[in-house]
Amino acid sequence: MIGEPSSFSLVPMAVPVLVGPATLAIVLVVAEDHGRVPALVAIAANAALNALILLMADRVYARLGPGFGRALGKVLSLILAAMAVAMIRVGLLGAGVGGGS
Amino acid sequence: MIESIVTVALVANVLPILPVVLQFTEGLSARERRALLLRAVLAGNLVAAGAALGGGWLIHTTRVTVDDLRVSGGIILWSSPPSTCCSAVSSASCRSAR
Repeated sequence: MIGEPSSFSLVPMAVPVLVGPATLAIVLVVAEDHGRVPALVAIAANAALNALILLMADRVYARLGPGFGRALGKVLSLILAAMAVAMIRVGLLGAGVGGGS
Repeated sequence: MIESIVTVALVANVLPILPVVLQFTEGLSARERRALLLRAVLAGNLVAAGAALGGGWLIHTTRVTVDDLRVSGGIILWSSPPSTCCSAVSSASCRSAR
């Protein structure tokens, strides 16, 4: 059980709500594919954007409406599923499974 | 560089979890909410930066290839769409945290 807001901001807020296993996996792949510097820049840019949105969370939510997050989640699910399939496909082809071109 | 930023931003997008964040921080003063959110963003992204810096060493030490990582990352990404991370934490535990 979580005791105080300081620990609450780390778990569950920071991990896994803001940065979950999927984000960590993507960061690892980006760092391996593009290098550590682009990965760190991407993390910093994303942190700045997330902080901005979160600090204006009530205003953003009031403007966009309750259905927007759900709708955006559906669209993002589609994109993320496609990214997941692409990652698995490239990984399997890279490991020599399938043998196709 | 742009590809990296867009990829990370798509996966770690906070817009779908705004209702959860608002529920978590309900009842806090503006100052407390701001401090909590900034701490959370900082902590979460420090964890991600740690993964970016030390993850390569870890996967090489454990003899995991980038292709293995792609397959496992794809499976994790597949099984944790944005909406499920919201339901992973019950609001009851959030209320008890305060």
